[in-house]
Amino acid sequence: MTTSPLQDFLYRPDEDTSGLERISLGRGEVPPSGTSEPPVGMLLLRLGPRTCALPLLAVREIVRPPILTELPRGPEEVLGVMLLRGEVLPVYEPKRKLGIVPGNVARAGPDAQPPPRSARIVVVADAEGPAGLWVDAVEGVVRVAPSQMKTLDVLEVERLLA
Amino acid sequence: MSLLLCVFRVGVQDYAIDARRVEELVGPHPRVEVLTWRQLELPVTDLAALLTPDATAPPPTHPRFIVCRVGMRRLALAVTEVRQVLRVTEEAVRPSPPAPFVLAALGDIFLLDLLSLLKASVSAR
Repeated sequence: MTTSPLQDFLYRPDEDTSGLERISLGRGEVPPSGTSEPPVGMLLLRLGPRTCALPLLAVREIVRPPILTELPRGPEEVLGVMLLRGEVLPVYEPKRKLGIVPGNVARAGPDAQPPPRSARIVVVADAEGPAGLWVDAVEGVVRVAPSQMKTLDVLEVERLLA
Repeated sequence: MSLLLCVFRVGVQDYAIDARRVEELVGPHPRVEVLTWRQLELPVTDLAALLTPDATAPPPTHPRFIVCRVGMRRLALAVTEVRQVLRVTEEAVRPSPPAPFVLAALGDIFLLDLLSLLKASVSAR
């Protein structure tokens, strides 16, 4: 398969950085000092037909989906678990929780479909430890001024997702 | 489709990376192996050592550092000088003469395969 040389030249937040963990320590977003409205770095993700965003600060890394191990009696929102450099992480599919359809493809176990080429696991960290989020594609990175973001109430969210 | 290139000099050759990788330019700054930048410790990759290992001229004592993004991580590239940021069309990019880690050329500027270069530098240690 021939790929354009430019494909390897262009930056993508989900490019394959395996093997570079030792030399890449810096992570997370730091707001620039001395500005009144530090922009927030956001990662754009595609979930079904929708583009969603996650603060860059929350994202640890992005990987291609490995084989997921089913949790037969696990909670419904957990797709399964994955192994990442010796660590076991639960994997969730935000699409399901958000009610975005189609959202019922089997990702683990005997009925698991092979992941589409653009699918990725976004590894995030929270108080309980790291977890993986299954997304349909990573679309890029943007910097957004906080004033450009609007807090939505529940009804607005429901309307948006309908 | 247009590309935004960050062009910099290493030794006597101009190279470019995707300008969307670049977060900040630091320096001139004394040569270090770890650069402290906005409370982060960034490992420094010396591009002269990787691209011109046989160079006889001594490396600059105060290189410029390009803080750049690789996937979701950051590191600092030590270069001789940052030359310019250029917007070009994809059509202007040409195949390059064979050179390690060079993907294509734009005039005298070599477009760098940064990921491959970094991976090769890790396995060389």
